[in-house]
Amino acid sequence: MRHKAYIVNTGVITAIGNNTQQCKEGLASGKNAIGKPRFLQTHWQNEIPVAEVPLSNDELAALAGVSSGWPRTALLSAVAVKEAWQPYRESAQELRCGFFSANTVGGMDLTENVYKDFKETGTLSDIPSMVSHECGAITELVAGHFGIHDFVTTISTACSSSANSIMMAAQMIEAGMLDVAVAGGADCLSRFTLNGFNTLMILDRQQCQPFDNNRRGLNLGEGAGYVLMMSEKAAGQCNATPICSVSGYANANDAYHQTASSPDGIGNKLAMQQAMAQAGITPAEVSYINLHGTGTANNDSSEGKAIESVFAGQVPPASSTKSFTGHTLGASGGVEAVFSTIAIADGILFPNMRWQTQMEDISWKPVTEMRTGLDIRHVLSNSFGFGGNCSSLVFSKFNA
Amino acid sequence: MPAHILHHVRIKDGIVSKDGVAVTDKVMALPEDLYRELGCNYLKFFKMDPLCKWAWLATEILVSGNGQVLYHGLDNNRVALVLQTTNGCLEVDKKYQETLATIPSPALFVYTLPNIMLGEICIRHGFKGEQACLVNEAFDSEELTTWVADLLERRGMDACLFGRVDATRNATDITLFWADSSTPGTPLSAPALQQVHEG
Repeated sequence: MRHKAYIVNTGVITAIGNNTQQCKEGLASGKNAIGKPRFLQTHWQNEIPVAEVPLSNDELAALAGVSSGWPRTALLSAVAVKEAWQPYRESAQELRCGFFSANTVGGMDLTENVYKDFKETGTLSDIPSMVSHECGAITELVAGHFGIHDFVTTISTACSSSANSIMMAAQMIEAGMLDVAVAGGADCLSRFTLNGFNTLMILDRQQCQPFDNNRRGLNLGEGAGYVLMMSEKAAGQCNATPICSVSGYANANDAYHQTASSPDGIGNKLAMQQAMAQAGITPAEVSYINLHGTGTANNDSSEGKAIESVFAGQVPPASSTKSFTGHTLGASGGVEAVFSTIAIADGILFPNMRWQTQMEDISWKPVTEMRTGLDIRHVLSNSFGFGGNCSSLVFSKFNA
Repeated sequence: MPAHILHHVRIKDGIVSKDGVAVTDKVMALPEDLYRELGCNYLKFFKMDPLCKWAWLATEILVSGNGQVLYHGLDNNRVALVLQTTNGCLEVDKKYQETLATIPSPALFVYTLPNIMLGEICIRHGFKGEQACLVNEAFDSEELTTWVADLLERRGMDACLFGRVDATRNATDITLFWADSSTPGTPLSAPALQQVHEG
């Protein structure tokens, strides 16, 4: 028998807010948080806007109650995990709990500082700060701090990382291997990612305009997003109220190019179709699509065409919340799972900011205004990564 | 059934052989030479870095023959890849670094990871099974045997392309194998791999 995986709580931090409530308010008020970085030290300070969390490492550490010597990705992770997990930590003590945390940056921010010194002085004065360089170290730090140890894993599949961590957590709860899971991901801004995306020539010098015909690229962001998942039995034991279930998920690869999607979005199509099939819903039943919507020419075109084909002209309301948060890379699937959960819980839809011009190669357009008072039953959330690593998740309202 | 080696390709300093037989009697100094010698038609080849070019060519030779590809009839999701390298993509790393002074090249940047060679092989042949890229000091037959035997005997893979691809400006050293667990061949073992590698 399969045990459904329910989302009972969320935790999130992005440029628009330090927790679920603040992010919700930011989304509702059209908060604009994309601009000059204050904390990321980069050559591009005045040229490339980013969606930075407006807190220093010390402030993040204080918020999470951890050491400020941690890499920034771990600090962001800890803030969001604390929000999702802390209220149930005690009641879940006797249950089997897993931590599924994605990231792509690891402790690279600290390594970059050491490297700069090394290059300039030839001495490795601060080598201990490199011990958390690799992605798994971030997960271990956070899992250790919050005492989650029955199953701990790190997933790093580029921009679909945290969607895949939610998928894996759902599978393990469904299979009866775990009762509770904290699943999602985190990523901080770093020079490497900014310079790398800049090399690929896909960064917007202005604020991004996903799904606009004149889009110029993406804005990088940072943050963390986690959902607390439980089996029905565990939710009962912890006195937690299910908001929605992770009813469908799929991962497909179009094996087309190292960094680009295939022009007609084969992997995107497969992921969406398989996720909806697993959830047992037809495309017409989807209330809202949280788009991957990075704002690059390639992504929005192939995602747009794939949606047009899958939804056969009846495209439900869709928007890219990356127009608020920037592209938070390994955190984006987790952040957007939290936003999808908010959409279901509150019956609201978020606008796709700064949309102006209809794309020429698709016939539908994203939602451009906030909508409230809706009955959101099924949300499809897309996360498409480099290497054609495409994932889609379906969240379904509890007892829908 | 335990894993068996069905075919192997060896390329060392321009000498190319398959299953111990010379593919051509000419010395292939550049990957483009071998590409033309084989009569390939794959335009994406020319944008690859040297590591990918050599890995791609060695795979073409390994999987072709008798009018159909080696993986004909196999489930692509159960074809695995395990490749070792020593120098990785250092050649393109250096070239990319030179472009940093002016405009960083996106075309070079995407090749600045050694595991991209697995990606190019998969894009060409559609393999979607388990994959690993390992960086070692030298050809490590023990490590390859462990990984491949595990994949074929315990991880649900039906076939595996594996070996070592190393390519620098001055030296090319490639040993590729194809193994599966349903066709009789040479039993997979470290000494058998070592023997092919040492020629």
